[in-house]
Amino acid sequence: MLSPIRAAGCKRWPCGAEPAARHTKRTFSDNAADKRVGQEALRAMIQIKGPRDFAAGCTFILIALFYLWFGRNLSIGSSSFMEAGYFPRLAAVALALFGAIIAVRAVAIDGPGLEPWAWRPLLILTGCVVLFGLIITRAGLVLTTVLVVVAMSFAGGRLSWTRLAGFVAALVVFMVGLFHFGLGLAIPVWPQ
Amino acid sequence: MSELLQHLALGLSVASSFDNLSIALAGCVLGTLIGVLPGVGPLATFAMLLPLTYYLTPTGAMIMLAGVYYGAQYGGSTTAILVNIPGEASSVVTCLDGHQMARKGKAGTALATAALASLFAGCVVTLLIAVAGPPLAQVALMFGPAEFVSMITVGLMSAVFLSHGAIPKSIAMIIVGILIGVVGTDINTGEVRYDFGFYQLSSGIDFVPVAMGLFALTEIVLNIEQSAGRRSVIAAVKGLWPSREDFSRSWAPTLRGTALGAALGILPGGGATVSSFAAYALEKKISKTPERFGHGAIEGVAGPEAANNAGAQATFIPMLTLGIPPNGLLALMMGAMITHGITPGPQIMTKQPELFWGVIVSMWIGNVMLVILNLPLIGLWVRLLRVPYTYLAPTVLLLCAMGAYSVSSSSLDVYLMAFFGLLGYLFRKLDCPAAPLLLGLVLGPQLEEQLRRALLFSDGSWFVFLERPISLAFLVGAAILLALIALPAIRSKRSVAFQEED
Repeated sequence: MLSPIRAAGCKRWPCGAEPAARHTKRTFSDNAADKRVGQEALRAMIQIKGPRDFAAGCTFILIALFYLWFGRNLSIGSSSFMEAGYFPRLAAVALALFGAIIAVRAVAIDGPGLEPWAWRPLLILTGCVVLFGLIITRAGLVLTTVLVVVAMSFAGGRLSWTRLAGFVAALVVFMVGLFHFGLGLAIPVWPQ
Repeated sequence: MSELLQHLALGLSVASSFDNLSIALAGCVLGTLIGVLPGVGPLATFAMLLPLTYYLTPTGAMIMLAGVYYGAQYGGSTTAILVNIPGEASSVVTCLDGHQMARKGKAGTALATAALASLFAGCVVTLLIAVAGPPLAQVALMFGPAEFVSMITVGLMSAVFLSHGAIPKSIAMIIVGILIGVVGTDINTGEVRYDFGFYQLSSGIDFVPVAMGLFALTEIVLNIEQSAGRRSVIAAVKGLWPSREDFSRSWAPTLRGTALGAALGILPGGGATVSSFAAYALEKKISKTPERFGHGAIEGVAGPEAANNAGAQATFIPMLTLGIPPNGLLALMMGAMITHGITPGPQIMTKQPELFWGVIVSMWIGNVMLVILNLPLIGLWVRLLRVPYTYLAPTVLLLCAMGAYSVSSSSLDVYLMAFFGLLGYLFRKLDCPAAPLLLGLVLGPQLEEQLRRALLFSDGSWFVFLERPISLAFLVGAAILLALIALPAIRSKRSVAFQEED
């Protein structure tokens, strides 16, 4: 939901030196060069000085718009008798306002740039959690534990196979002991 | 006075039952354990352990969570002194002089000083809660909906003011929390709102998967991301008992730290971190030999340690008496109370005295247990410090996934946790603090409820908040806080105070 903003932020705004560098490489006719200078001035004017905060502000605005759109059919009522849509809409508008303040300030005030994302551990971990949710009721505690731990070992800091096997065995004992015997959860231990 | 004794006797009878004693012990052990483990912060710990408490009685759950709460403080100090890694934000200051003491071969003394100063502070503040709680609750009982709305507002404002992070972002994060809180069935009209097409969401989003995702999952990813070469030397521990000279140097800082921590802790938004920073600054300022600070001054350990424990415990006062959680951790605890069917606030003392006083007395017991646990078992904790993250990450992830699943035996909570893990990572990368989101999530439903009532009574007039004197006072307080934030001098001080926190 938020990726367009971020992608745009990464590519276009943080590197202010880029247009100038390109300018020296190419030759333009006088007219085109003038136009180019004009564009650069325009770009310098709308240059985002704090890309990280700008992205944060836009994220808040997007969340607010998302809520406003999703709740568009809820009745508002009046302030003396609020219906389901009153308070959420109030909050969403306030959020959009704060998002706008943050974003506008970030245009003018220098701030930190965007940080790179560690996609690999992020996606592997999220995948592991989703995997857990998908299989836990059918595969049971033991198999789920084994699969999740093995899958997670791809996220970084890999163990040798023997160590991994020992760790998985210990974790299986721990999980089954805690959740099956200790807390008595109604979750199958073995695959169904 | 006799009333106080009666209350404490009631509390003692609750807290000293075998079940509750073992629960308190379990809470302290788990709290210390996880406070010591590298890379698992207190909020993640809390989120992970919350589902476990659903199997206990409400009183037992509160006792256990309180134990975890101050156990984590102790554990954090241990890692701060021995490895120079603050287990949590409030022990950052302890690193400064505690670790220097350890490097000079006085690790044992530093640990013992930290433990004893914390114990002292804990005992004093527990008594303070018992004394100050009932009158505060009396005041709060007179509040109408308008006062509650204003109080929640000022509480949130000061939480923003005293926590780190940019102010507009913190406020925006509170609102995001509020918006997550509106998902589900509207209590007043019965209308289902914002279920995003999932009928299971009609009962709302539980805060457990949210907290686990935002804190535990995000933390794991960040830890894996930053894990390169974080090996540190672990100081050897010998000679636990402080010398006579150590004692005479540290008793006064302990007293001052306790007072400061208690005062700051009561303020909404205050608590352990602010208190320990303030105590360190104070000790350094009034010391005759300020140049010793940063090179192993025992005053720099005793004062902040007393203050952080006092502050941590004093934050229970606004939560238990007013129903305002002053920080993310207590917001989680309040969420757990609500799940157990307890509404935190002034009524709790009259309606459930055994819970209120039981928890308070168990804090006392817990503090003693912690000293006993920490000093002799220090060798065990040191060994835990060496557990590689490669083993910790899958364990934490599985515990969270299981915990999220067990909340309502549904995989949707597990998926929600995954979603909030992603969201938490996004927010972290954008420097948006996640703790205010929890405050919004827990307080949002109350805010809406009270706002509706206040405006129903006032026939829709928003001026009601200015017309009622107590409410007006709260709002003036909130305005003053906002004005303070805007002052450049304060703003720069604030950023200095918090810059070391991360």
